[in-house]
Amino acid sequence: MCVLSAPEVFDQHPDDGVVVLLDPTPPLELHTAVREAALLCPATAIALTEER
Amino acid sequence: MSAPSSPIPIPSPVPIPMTRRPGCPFDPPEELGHLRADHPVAPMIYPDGHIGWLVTRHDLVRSVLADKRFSHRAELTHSPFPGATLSAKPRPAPPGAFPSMDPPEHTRYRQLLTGQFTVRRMRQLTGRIEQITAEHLDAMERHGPPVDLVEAFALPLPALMICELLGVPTADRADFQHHMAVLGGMGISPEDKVAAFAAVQGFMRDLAAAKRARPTDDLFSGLANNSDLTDDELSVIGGILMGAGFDTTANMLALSAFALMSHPGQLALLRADAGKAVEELLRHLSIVPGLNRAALEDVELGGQLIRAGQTVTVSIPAANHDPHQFADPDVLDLGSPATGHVAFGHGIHQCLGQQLARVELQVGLPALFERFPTLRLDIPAEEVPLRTDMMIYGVHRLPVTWDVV
Repeated sequence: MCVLSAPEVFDQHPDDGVVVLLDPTPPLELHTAVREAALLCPATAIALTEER
Repeated sequence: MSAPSSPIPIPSPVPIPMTRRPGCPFDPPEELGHLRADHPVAPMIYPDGHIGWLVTRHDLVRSVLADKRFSHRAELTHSPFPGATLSAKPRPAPPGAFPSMDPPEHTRYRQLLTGQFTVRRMRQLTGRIEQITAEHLDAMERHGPPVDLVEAFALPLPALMICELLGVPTADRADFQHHMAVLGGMGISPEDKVAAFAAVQGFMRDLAAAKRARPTDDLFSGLANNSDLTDDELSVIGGILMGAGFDTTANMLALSAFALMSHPGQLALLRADAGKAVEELLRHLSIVPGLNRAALEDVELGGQLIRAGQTVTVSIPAANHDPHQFADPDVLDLGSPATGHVAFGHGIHQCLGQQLARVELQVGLPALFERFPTLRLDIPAEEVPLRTDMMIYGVHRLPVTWDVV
């Protein structure tokens, strides 16, 4: 799901399909997509920390 | 079974609501909406006499599916659908039947398969799906109207794709289709179900032996030769993947086409953004009626106490039509975001093949209406035979016609 919601931030390993984090600190314009990815994650495996 | 502080008395257990309002083939059974508003966790009676629960609110459905206290083990869950399972009593899943297992058994199988169904891999199939789609649209055009869209388009497209992906000879498709119809039907005798299951297993076992002897470039060969799976496990996994690839997308294609012909104003939105449109169709049509889990311990859910051992059925159509989650849920609007729908489930068992289904729908539906802009029903809408007797909703036949230019 996260690869669909935020492809700039999440990818899947071509061999085993395990999610690969491409960008641990995504830019502001991707925050909405990343929040959606975290919300939708079927395994609730995405943790977000927001710094200001 | 007492409700701690429920303002409304708990109703007596009812069977899962399956009856749709006449003339409204795309709307969920009305009773689900009443339950969601008044008793989002309601006592439910199962055909074998078990008393469990029906969950109808979106947030509660998601929390059940993500909660490891709710098991998906076959021997613990009761089916709400009469005559739907292989045996009258819940039995353990056969080796390989990973959807009906919990971690860690489930994890081992799922990890073997996840890499085969990634977003990238499924998108790489787009060209091939376009090709198969075009071939079937060509055949429809040559045949001329009217045709049954289920037979001519909706069934063969996903069937050929899953056969190709797995490496199943397409010559065996008709036999498979028959067995899948028996396995996916309700009110079918356990003997008939067992016979169909055995036929599929026998077929997949032969295929596994063939792929081990002479590997080809497909998913099943990969599993047969690059894993420690036994022949029993391989045949069960193959049967599950075939079944999942056959029935679900075929019914989404046909029911979506029916819905789009009934809402022609939506076609422009399908053309504009097929990705978004398909998510809304998945949400609105919700062809999987429910998913079952069994409580491993006492769990409080939505103000009710679920006892260890009780089966909980979550209603996919009810969750996907929850007005607290989706604005105007009963209106099909291909322009509105269906973000968060649970048509593919949620949690660790979320549909493995969802990306394949998405690509097939995103390619197939726009291509169908582009080729036949005047596509319409050839019989009155109320005469379209609905799959109210099957576990996956849809239409049995969809006679269509179009203007020949």
